Amino acid sequence: MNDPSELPVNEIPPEAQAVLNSIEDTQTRFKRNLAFSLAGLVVFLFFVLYIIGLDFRFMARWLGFIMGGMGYTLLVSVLAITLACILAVLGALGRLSRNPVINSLATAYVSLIRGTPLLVQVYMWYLALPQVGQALERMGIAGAQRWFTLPALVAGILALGVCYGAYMTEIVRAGMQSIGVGQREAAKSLGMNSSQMLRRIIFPQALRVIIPPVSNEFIAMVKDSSLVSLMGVWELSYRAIKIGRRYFQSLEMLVLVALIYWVMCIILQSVQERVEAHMARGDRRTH
Amino acid sequence: MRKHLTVGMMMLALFTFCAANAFAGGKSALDEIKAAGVMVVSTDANYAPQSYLNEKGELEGFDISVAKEVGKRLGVKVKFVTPDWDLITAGKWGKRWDISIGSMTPTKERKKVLLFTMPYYSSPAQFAIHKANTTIKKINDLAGKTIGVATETTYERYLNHNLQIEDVKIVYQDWKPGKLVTYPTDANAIEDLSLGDGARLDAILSSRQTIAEAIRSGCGKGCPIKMLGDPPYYEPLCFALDKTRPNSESLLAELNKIIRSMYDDGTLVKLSMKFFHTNMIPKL
Repeated sequence: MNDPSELPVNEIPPEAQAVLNSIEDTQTRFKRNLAFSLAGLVVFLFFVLYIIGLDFRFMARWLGFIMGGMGYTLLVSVLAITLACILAVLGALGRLSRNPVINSLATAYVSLIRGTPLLVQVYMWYLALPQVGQALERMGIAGAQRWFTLPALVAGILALGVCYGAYMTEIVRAGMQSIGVGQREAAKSLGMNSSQMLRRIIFPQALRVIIPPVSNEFIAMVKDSSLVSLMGVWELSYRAIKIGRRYFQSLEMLVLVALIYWVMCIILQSVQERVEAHMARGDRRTH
Repeated sequence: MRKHLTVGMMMLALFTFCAANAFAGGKSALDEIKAAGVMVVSTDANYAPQSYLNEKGELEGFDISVAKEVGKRLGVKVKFVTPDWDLITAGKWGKRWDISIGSMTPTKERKKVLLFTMPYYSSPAQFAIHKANTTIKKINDLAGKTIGVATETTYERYLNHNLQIEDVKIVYQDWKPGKLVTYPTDANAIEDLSLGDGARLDAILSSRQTIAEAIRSGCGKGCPIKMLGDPPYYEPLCFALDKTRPNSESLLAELNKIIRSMYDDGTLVKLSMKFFHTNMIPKL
């Protein structure tokens, strides 16, 4: 009896089979109805767009031109999220640091940046920095003004990266703190120093917790990248707004650019789901 | 030891760089532009027919053509940048761009941070109402009505009795609007007026050429608005330079010379006829 090969493997009792079948039925029915209602919502959305009398030919004509701004939108978002990730890891280490200077620096960074509107920060990077440079130049540091006068694209990437870095600092910190004390103790008893412990034990496990909220931030950032249009970068929303104003048909262009952002975010979301499933394959079973 | 060496090298490089910059500091703005071979011009692409994106999505308009002509006469290439209007009027450009060729009125406030050339054309202000309206027959009928204007424009200041332009006598209306609605740009006000008579706005105040362009080609098939009364005032429009940039005097003098030559040989009139379909160039 203790030999597992003697156990009946493929024979499920009929009662149990009936229960399994009904569960499967409910699941397929749910999936089908979900697809139906989603499709219904999309049809309804387009119906609303139709009855408010949008000029679809106008939208179709300018679609290509507006899509030309996609490159800038993606460039700004990707570079800014990269910067934000680096700042977030440094910020989180700072927030957890026992060194009072480093800890206070990180805490002040998070507090200041999270406590001020992103729009104001964008203006600060663009307008206020050159004046800092000018002041430095007056104090005798030649060339300071040129260094501090950032081009629009760079100012935008810095503004977004620094802002999101502050939010993500807290995500990374929470992720690192979610790893049990036992893991640290185990690492130490194996003789790892603290950098080895971080690299081999804490980060790989924390990453799993961090990935979903970080992708969330990235999706939010793709849309906030439209703020760089203020400084004259010809990304998606800049193009849409200018064309809308040129022909006094702003609504069409706003609807169009909203749809483009939406599709981008749907794609990003599916990427996020894949990455998340990959990271979590250790502890999530799909039978 | 090696670390110290690297730091030392970096410091040295930095100092060399700074020193090189210090030598460049004394040049005049005109020389800098000529040395670079490029004049960077800021323009706000929100204003048809002065500055807008054409069928191919390229910058086009009266201001764009004027800027290209100025570049040609200065012997340099022209590069356009398109920051928000507020960033242009705020001054302190930090050499991001050399000049604004964007139909700017030299108001007293702007003169605190910007230098202005002589006017290159003048623009009539214009009230407009919805086409369907039958009760507003003259400008005085606008008393107590809701009026839309673009923010930080002379139109907003005019309705607030707070407009000062050098050498221009402004006669304010003797009535007050019921409510003033401000928009990021004139096109938004025109669109809101087009929604319907009194739907959001009863009237707008903008430039005559912008309203004419909206009636001619805007809102899909011509915006349903009409002009009301004579222009309440005319504003001179100029190029602007950054006041905080040192040694700009020779550039200003050179630009004035170029504008004068464009008056004299009829270039400005020709461009005005092309983009405004009327002559907006005053006699010198």
